[in-house]
Amino acid sequence: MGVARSWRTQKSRYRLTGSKCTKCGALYFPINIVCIKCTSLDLEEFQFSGKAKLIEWTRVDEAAKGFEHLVPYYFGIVELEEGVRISTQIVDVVDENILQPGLQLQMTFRKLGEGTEEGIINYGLKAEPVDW
Amino acid sequence: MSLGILGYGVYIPRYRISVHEIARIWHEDGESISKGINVIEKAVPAMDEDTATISVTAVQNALRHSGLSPSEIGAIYVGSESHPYAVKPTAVTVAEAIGATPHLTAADLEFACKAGTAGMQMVFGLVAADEIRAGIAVGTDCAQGRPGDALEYTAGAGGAAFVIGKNKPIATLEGMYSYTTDTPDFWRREGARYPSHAGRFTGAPSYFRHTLSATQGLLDKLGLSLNDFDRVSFHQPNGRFPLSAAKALGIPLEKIQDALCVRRIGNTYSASSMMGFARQLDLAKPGERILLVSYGSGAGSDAFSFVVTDEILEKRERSIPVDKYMDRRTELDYALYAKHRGKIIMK
Repeated sequence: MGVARSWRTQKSRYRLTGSKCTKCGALYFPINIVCIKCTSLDLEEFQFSGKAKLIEWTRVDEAAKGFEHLVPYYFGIVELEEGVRISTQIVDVVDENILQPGLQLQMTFRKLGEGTEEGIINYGLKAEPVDW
Repeated sequence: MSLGILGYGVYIPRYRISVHEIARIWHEDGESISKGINVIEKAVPAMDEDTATISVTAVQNALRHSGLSPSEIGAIYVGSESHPYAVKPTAVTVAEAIGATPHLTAADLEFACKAGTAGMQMVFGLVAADEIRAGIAVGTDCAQGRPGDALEYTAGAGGAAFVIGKNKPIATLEGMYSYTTDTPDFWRREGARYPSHAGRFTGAPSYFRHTLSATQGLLDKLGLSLNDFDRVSFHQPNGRFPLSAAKALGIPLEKIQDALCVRRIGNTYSASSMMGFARQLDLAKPGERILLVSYGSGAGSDAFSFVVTDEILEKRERSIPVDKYMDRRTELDYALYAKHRGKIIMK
């Protein structure tokens, strides 16, 4: 991810900030400028809580460049408490058997990627199983 | 309105490596080392965790505990010796992640293991001067020890954050005192991967001289004696030094033992004394007086006296106790530990 794009998408990546259509109430993540449901351009920022549940997941054994050190890792579709579904890495899975649909998750701040040793570090939110 | 701590929060990565496992690799006697340093295991960050991510979660926990909104935070200082960048502050990432930007001041601090308490002093100063309503000081580290070095057994990972202000504190600040000299007991040169230390020199002229002098200085300043304190948290480079310091001062074991997180998570460097203080607050009753004394190599100690208020009971249900994080653990062998800590160089 380039520096400008990283900076531009920071609010959604760092804080789980999305959009809410002020006309029809539809929610979006990440931040959107047009409501896909009613075509309104009147959207406001919306703060998701960070609570989520697991919908589906897969284990990644052959990683893309830059993520080889993480294998095996888990990637999934999770549904935020507010009803919006997002795809995200699921971290700190110490037992694969816990990955069942409906598993309670929370979003946690992690490194997304580092690029080169001299480049910027991209941070953002990933999902982790709720331990308590 | 009295100056004090409005809330606190910690974060400890879930991974652990035992002293026995590290000793196995270097053909040392794990039993003897573990007993000698009074440490069982240490916390190890996940491969996608660093000082910034640990600080963010600790600060999120502290902010929730305080009940403040991010826009009320006027300053964030992150103390660490393992900031992810040589140039680019960790504090701005923390501020952005909690939504406190842009109307605040933020900076990174470095003073070995006492950079976090240096941040507390700065926030106390700004709040006392009515320059800001509230601010946050964080101490976080993902400490690195050279493979095979004595430090490898204790260099842990964790963070502790304190929200400081004047409105309904859970613990009021009675006073603070620092003792600082140029003492080269531990250092890392620019660009060096691992820190170096002066072996036994880290003891008497360094840790003990500064810790004991700062404690005495605070007692003299406030006109208190150690009998006036119910709980104590000293910096914990290992599990033995804080107990020896307590013994030298005549502090009974029961006043300090609750702070000794080092036995289960290692030395969390900038977070170390603050983590012990957080655990003491987890267990404290209103009216109790707590002594916090940090130590940072190089060298200096910051001493604080706090008195716990009734507010601590009101806010306790919003906190995640230190024990929750200490109990959440997944053990690693040395090979996985080496991978987690970037000790395997691929190119």
